[in-house]
Amino acid sequence: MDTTIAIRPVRLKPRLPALLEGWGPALVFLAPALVMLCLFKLWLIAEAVYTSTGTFDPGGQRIGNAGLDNFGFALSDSRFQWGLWLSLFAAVAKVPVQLALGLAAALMLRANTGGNAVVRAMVISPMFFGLPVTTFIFAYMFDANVGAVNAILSGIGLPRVAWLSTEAPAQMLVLGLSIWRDVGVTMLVFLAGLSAIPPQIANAAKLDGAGPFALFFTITLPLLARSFQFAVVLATLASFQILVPVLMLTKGGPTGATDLASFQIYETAFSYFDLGTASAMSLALLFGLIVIIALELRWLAVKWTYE
Amino acid sequence: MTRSAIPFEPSRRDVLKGLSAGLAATALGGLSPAFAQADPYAGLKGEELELLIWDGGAFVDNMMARVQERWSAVGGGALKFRKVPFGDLDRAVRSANQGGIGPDVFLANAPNVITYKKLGLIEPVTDMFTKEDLEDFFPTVRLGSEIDGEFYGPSTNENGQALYYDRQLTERYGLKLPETLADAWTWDEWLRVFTEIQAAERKRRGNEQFFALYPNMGNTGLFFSGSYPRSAGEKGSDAWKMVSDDGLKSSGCLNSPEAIKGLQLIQDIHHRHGIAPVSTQKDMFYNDQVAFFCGVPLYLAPIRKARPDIDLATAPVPYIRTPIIHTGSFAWLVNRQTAKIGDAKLFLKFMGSPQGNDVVARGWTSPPIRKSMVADRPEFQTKPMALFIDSITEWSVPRPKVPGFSELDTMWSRLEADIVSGGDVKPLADDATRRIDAQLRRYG
Repeated sequence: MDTTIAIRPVRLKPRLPALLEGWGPALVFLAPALVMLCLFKLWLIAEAVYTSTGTFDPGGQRIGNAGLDNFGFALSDSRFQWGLWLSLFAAVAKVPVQLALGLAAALMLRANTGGNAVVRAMVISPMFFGLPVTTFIFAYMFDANVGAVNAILSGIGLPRVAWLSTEAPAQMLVLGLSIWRDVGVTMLVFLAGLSAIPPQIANAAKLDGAGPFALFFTITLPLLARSFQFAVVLATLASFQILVPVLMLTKGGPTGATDLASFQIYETAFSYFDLGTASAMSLALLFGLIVIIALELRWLAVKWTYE
Repeated sequence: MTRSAIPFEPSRRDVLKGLSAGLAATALGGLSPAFAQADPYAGLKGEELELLIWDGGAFVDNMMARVQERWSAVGGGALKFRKVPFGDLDRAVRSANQGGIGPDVFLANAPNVITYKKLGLIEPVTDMFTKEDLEDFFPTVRLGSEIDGEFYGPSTNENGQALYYDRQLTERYGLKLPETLADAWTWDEWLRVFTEIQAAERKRRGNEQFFALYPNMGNTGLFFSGSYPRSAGEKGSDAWKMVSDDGLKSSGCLNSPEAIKGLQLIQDIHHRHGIAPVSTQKDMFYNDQVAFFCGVPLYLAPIRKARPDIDLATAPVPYIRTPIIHTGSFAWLVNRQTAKIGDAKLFLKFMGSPQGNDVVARGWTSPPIRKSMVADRPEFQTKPMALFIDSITEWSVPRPKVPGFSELDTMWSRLEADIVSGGDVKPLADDATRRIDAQLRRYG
């Protein structure tokens, strides 16, 4: 008697090596960056998540679990709410100015004008001096009574300004310092973008009679879209991380005018030793940043590519 | 071979020698407590001690090198230092024992002693000091480190407060200022003089940026400016206390009607009267941009260096209702978890002794911590510096004893800055007290 056994093809789950087929070389090259990412970003975020669920004594020792209470406490605190709004306003004010200045500096350097050395010195120097040094210089420059800026204002007959103890000037000062600090990075991003634009395109446009303005608005600016997207994301991130100018110049004042969320997180963690709440505040800020950056990436998505 | 129990036959002389040796031994034995007292560091093992200190550069390094010399001379071991930036000192002490046993000794801001006691970080050293020692300390040295009847560590130096000024300037306008605490003026009296001097000097110099008073606010926490609301109340009142008796509540004290008067004065001297600059640059007096400088003895050396030509004088600081100044400096504390507790406690005994304290107090150009030591510091026995000793003795109080002093001080600085910037004092004080209380509740 013949028996026929029907054999159904068995679909085996692909093994891990099969899944990684073709990815090997990429992973090797990515490994250092991935390790760094895990060590210095993801692990810390995981640590913050854990810390945000704890209660801590004022010595920084975890003494109990808080569940989500720290989030509730942080988000219902009117001061932190104000800090989040203020950080958002700071980003809205800072990002466009920083982009405009960074692009202008990049165009000047690209054009190789006579002012290159000045631009380089002005834009790059704060990156190398370090923010505490720059901020310290600012503190002296903008002192109400003995500062150089007020001495100049007074010398030309203008009234002195209490830069650090009046709301709007203090905000301008903190933002200005932060912009000055970060504009160098933006400039480098745009310089890289400008270098990547094929010169033939601009040459072709010139042959068609395009002037400098038309060239800039119809060729250069659209082709800088990728750099623009990257620069916006970087500038947004930096805006929400403004800390040193506030810490050294205004300490959140006057009357809360520079009480940014980042400063409040620092103060809650390292002045009030409330690590649980500070971690919850950090994660709330992180979540908000992810949403904002996701929107930015979507709005600024580039749909073209060089062939 | 047999061995005799006594290998030789003792002579009468030998017996006499033995007897006298026995008598001497008995006498010495009987005197042993006296000998122990003569060696205050008996029991010292000469172990290496690690000290957590703030990084003050070569100045502190040199001072600690001299401490090491004297400590070694009494049998102490090597001193090793773990240095942290000044602003990180409190954080470093609080977290010293996380991840293992931390340094053996902490140099900490004295008002934080109560915090560290509350967190179980420090060991009392009451047994290292006699009653006479404790009574010899200036009041704030003892009061600042004494909690629940236990003494936790001596300070590095004392301070005192007074107004520095150039007598040539006041004599120009025929002004006679108080020179002793008994003649001290209230703010009302001072405001008249401040206003007059400022107006006259501005006119003479043709410079609107000359001010009467540098009140030393902006980066000194409540050391100087905390006196304003406290001084507005009677001794023992809510305003004077600044916080409740248990140290866990500031509402009702810091925002009491009397305290608000003091807080309002902070704003008024900057705006309404306009006699104080909003600048927080301490060198305004050194640069001859202010007439009076509210300061501590430490500032004497830089003043002498910057303005050697002036006839330096001092006057008691103004008060509203009750004379009060904050004093106290850094305190030496023993880490409760150290394995070298014996040597660590003896190190504190040494640093509280005239021998040990002299190095540090002189290093800071400040008064010593003991009354008896002032005799060896002639500069503090005559004008202008004697006033600092008087202020320590008669007017000084520790900063408020609050388990979360660091938190209080941070919020105070914020409140002070907001008041100086012109904010509405009462709502600011109410908001500050609410937030301070929320932080202090964690220590309850």
